[in-house]
Amino acid sequence: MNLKGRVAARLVELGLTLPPVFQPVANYVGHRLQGPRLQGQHLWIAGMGPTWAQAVHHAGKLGGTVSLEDGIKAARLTALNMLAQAAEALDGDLDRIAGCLKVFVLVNARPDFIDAHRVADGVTDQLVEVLGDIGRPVRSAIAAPSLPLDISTEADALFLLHS
Amino acid sequence: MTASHEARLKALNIALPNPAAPAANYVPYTISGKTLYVAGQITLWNGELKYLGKLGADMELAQGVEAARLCGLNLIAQARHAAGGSLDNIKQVLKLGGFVNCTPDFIQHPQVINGASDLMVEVFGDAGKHARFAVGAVSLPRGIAVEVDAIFELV
Repeated sequence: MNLKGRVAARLVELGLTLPPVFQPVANYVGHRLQGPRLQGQHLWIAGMGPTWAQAVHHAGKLGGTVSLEDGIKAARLTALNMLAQAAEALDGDLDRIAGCLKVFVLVNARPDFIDAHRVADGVTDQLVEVLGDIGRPVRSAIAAPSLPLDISTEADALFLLHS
Repeated sequence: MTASHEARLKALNIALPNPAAPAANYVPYTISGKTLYVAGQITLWNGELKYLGKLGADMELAQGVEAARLCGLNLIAQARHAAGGSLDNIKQVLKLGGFVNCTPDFIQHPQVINGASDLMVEVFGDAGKHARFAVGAVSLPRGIAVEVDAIFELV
């Protein structure tokens, strides 16, 4: 994917590379555009995880084998996977993003883990670092007893696009 | 003419908490067109964290229902702030997402989240009837018992 625009330059500045676009392996898509382009489309992103070229990083449970620090790294990689989906949907032009409206963060954790919100900060901090203030969404963060492929974090998102 | 949401809130003598500012890189609400998204609200009353615990372990159902109602009060406080300070600028409640901190064998998630759903109908009348999901979580931030997020439609 060839990236262009201000956000692409910001990624370079931060020394970040977007992961290869995650390819869903079942009957769903990684992203979906809603509405006519001239009226401010919505971009829905499927639940993403900490993957790179389809391989899982930082697998396991918070409060178990995954440290808070690694959970936050997983959350940041999860956010980069959202942006990779967005880049594919927007032909590499992430400047078309007008704002991140909503993210939902799931953390794979043991029952006594109470820092799901600190892990979720990895997702929203990464979005704000790359997109600036418009990357600050509403957020819900919870812990799940298990997640697919034992990923430590999963998050989905809704973006608003410029018309 | 149906009663205004603000009038109903007053008639019911329901007090709202102050809308809490998020402590991290997210915002309390976003608006796209007429759609208002409110972040997951927790069991806070003016800065004080309440209802810590896990349903099915150390918290009774009745307390869980109260916890969900408090999340609902925080949702309404945020929505009112987003809607220019008046609930009458809210057309309807579209959706609630309810999360219950619970043990694996706990199955009364709907009853818990009714605490928030019933509040919406009390305050907004028919416009408070919404789509919803209610699920269990293995834990919630800071050990709270319930978290609820919402989508509203603005007038």
